[in-house]
Amino acid sequence: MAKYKFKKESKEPSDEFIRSKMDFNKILKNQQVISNYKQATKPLYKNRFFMGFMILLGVICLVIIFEERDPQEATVKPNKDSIVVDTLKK
Amino acid sequence: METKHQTISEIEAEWALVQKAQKDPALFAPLYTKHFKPIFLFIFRRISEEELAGDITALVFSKALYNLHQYNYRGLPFSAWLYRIALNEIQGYYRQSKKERVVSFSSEALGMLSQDIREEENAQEQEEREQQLLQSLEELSEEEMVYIELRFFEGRSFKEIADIQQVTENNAKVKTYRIIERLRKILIRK
Repeated sequence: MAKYKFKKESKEPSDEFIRSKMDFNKILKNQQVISNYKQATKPLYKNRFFMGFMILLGVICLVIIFEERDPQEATVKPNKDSIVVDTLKK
Repeated sequence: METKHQTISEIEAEWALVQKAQKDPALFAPLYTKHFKPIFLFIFRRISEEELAGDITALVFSKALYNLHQYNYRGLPFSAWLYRIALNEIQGYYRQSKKERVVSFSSEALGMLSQDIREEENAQEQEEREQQLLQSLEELSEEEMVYIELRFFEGRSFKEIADIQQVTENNAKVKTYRIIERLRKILIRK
């Protein structure tokens, strides 16, 4: 199959026809339709609110994890003073 | 041919209109009115269907308006950006439809291309040579054909070609002459 279709001296549409195709209101509407479509099909990771919520959730999880870890660390690693007090008590 | 070289003050005045339109889409109307016909004809020459050319032109302007907030002034005419969107839409249309890509030209334009390729032109063999030339054009890639169309069939300056193709003026010249050289070699081979 040929790649190109050559048209020699093809007649161009009249100015009236071209003017009849001009419709700025349609362009404004189309732009709104494209905008709505892009908004509806926007991936979640590009959603500012969703990402904000995920970051907040991450921060809360980290806080909870560290809150739970702190008492454990205290029991595992007793400091020198507490060891001295314990031996004196005995 | 509707091509006209814009001065820097004209380009800057147009940029001021674009900035207004970026704030309020309704102010895009003067730019739409100014560029509708050149963009329509640009598409029509590559599609050759009036109604379809109208639809694609509407799509080009809708996409331009939707992406207008991303447009940045780089010293180029606003029309170069519109032609770029139009070229993308045309390529998208041919990719989907799998039809033969239409290339429109006048006899005069083809004669000019023929002269550029072969210095000595014999009037008797002109028709035969034009046929050979058309066969040679078949071997060009889509991008190479765009350069030939812009330069020879639409008579655009290298500056305009560079603006549309987003290359330097020098690069546009080099690419065009390389394509001419390639066409010359194909013709010799035939």
